[in-house]
Amino acid sequence: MLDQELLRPSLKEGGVKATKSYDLDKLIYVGFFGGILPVLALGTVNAVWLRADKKRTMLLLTAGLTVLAARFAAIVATGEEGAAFVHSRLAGIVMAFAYRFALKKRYRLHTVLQGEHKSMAKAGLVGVVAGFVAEAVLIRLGEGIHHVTHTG
Amino acid sequence: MSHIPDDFHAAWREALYYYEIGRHEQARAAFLELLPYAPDDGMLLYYLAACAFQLDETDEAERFVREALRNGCDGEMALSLLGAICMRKEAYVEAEECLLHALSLNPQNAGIMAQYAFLMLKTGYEEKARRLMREALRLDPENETVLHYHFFFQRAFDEKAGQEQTIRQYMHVAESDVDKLTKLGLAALDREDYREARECFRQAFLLEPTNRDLLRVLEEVDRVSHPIFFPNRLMQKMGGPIVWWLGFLALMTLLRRMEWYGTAAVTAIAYVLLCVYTWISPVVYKLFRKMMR
Repeated sequence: MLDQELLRPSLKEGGVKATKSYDLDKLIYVGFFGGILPVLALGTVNAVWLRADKKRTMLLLTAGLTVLAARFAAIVATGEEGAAFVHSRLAGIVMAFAYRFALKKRYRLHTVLQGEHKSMAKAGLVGVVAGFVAEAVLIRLGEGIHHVTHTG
Repeated sequence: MSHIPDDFHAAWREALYYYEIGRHEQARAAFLELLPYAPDDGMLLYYLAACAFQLDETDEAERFVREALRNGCDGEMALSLLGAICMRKEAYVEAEECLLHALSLNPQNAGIMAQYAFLMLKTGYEEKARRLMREALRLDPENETVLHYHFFFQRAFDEKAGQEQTIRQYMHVAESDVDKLTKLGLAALDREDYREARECFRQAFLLEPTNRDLLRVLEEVDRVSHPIFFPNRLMQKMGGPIVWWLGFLALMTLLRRMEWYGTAAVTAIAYVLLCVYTWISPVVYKLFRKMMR
């Protein structure tokens, strides 16, 4: 027997909850040019748009932030930035792949149903520039902390 | 149809035939010829709306279908079409009203149930959508419309095996060769069999040269299957960029261990060039198309 619940309107009260997504294949460019920070930001936004599993989204974000924190701690401990800039870009590329892989199913659903992706050009560019600035600040901050704790 | 004089029954059947085999341009011309003789025939107005809808003229389709509803056209059919028109206009709330109204007239209409299921899926009510689709399949597992939407459900959820079976069933019941070829083409595209996909869409396009959607898909298939994108396809086929990247790292470690620095350098340069090429290949393709014009 047909469940009458199924024939009750959903959109009038619940609203349209269509998924949104960037072209996820482009996230790797953001990783290559902008490092790990903009990838985490855009990847998390995209995961929320696709209504991906919340646990998975949090896990990816936590993993990325842990890597970032570990590298920052290394700068604080040694007082030298080393190849932090390059490491961030490598981690950004890895995270871009991780998002692409983890969101595969939801991305497929979105692509078949909505048939279009939002352009990442603007957000990507802003992300790359902001990532640069944030990284420079973090590196100086790390060196500063090392300096203060080791001379003071 | 009742208002059309008997002499026109042959013309009516001809128009209907064109419509059923998917020749919408010809069908519309034939229906339009009948219009002066029966300007307030609900069914005629409905078919004019359906033709306009298939030919991507959404506003005209909406005008005709509303006229059809006013002139006593079969409610279920016309409301379903109006629902589809609203969906194309992204007026989803109104689309839901139309489809639920149609279902209230006949809750056993499996095709409209499937259409409503697809609307729910598209607007983010996935669980409800799945339940509606199950119900539609229970009501009529061999209905053309149900199979059409079921095929898109299976594509969306990436159920490859089920997809093949749905297509086989669809081939038995579908009227229009264009619809059949489009489904075969999409399935081939999902399998990344571009040659097969191109052939399907090309044949469909030959049957219906006015269909702009088909032209767009054909151009897209031509694009992704072009030799310029060969490195991209190779990379995708062999595990994707991440596998290549990991393989590259492993190879570099190995070469360094063996102190083959020359080989390592050449490999690194080749890898970077390949990566850069796969990134800029869309630009190369655009330039190539421009030069060919």
